[in-house]
Amino acid sequence: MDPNLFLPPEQLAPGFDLRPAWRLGDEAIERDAIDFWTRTGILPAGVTPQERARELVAVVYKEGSMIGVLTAQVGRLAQVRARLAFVRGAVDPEYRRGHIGLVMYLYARDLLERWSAAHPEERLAGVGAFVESNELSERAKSGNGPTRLGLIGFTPDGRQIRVCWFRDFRLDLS
Amino acid sequence: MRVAWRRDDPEIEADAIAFWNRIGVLPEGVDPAKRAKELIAAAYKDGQLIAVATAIIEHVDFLGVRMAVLRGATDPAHRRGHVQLALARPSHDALRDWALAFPEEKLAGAIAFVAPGEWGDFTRMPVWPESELEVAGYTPDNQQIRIRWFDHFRLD
Repeated sequence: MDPNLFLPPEQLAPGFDLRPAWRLGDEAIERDAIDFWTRTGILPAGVTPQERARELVAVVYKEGSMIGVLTAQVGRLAQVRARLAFVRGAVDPEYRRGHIGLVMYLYARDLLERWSAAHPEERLAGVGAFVESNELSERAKSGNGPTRLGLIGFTPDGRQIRVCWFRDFRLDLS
Repeated sequence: MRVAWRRDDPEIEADAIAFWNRIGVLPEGVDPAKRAKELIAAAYKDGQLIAVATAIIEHVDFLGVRMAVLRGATDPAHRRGHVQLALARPSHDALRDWALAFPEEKLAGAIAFVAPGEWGDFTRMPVWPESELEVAGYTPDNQQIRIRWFDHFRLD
């Protein structure tokens, strides 16, 4: 079941420590993230932890140990003619049964939305995600849902394309 | 505001036909009586119908689901108001309630094709107020595609 999403993300996961990392260059967090990826072995072949560490948006600690990371790559999605932060999340297998991944996403989304408002020159319009259709969780079966990541189509290899717009953003007319 | 979706309300249908004839917005070849069967809701002011929302249900290939394809028409004398905005919520609720009552119809939400020239700066908002229609893409002829999913709907 989803937590009460009307609460601030920080209040949704008592005992977990959510921390910002987006464009902060925080070396301690980056080292912890590299340790996390090395320990869990979840990075795809060809991706170095050092590269991925530069894309950190937010992280989660539990009792001093990093147990979740959310990263983003900014790129233009031609379908909607806008720049989006394409997010990826990873949670320590020991904590995947809870909702910490969702809470981390909500925290990261709000962080990116505030950053976008503070840096209008970046023209960051929202968050994008590619969701594996064979991982059809209850949330992935929903067209929109509490994450506000609305389904807008599918990639040629069958992944869902989802977008959460920043409501105060204004699109370019072209 | 008066809801009309699948109610066969002869009074609203007659008002809508008179409205379309008065403002002349129906394309050539479209039968007003047939279009009247597509009414979702109508807005009245001082007893006169001044705006309508209509829909047909179609399969949307790029999403793989059935959606209500929305259309709206407003009396030119009231275009500067927010009549279509006011129609958005009751129209959504009517379609959603119908989708819930008829799950075999597998209606996933609503979709609108928006000409930027007609809607101006409003098209710069990625999510519209009231209707919650969100930008999902563009057609080859540069119309915005906006969609809203029903909260209850689940993909197969």
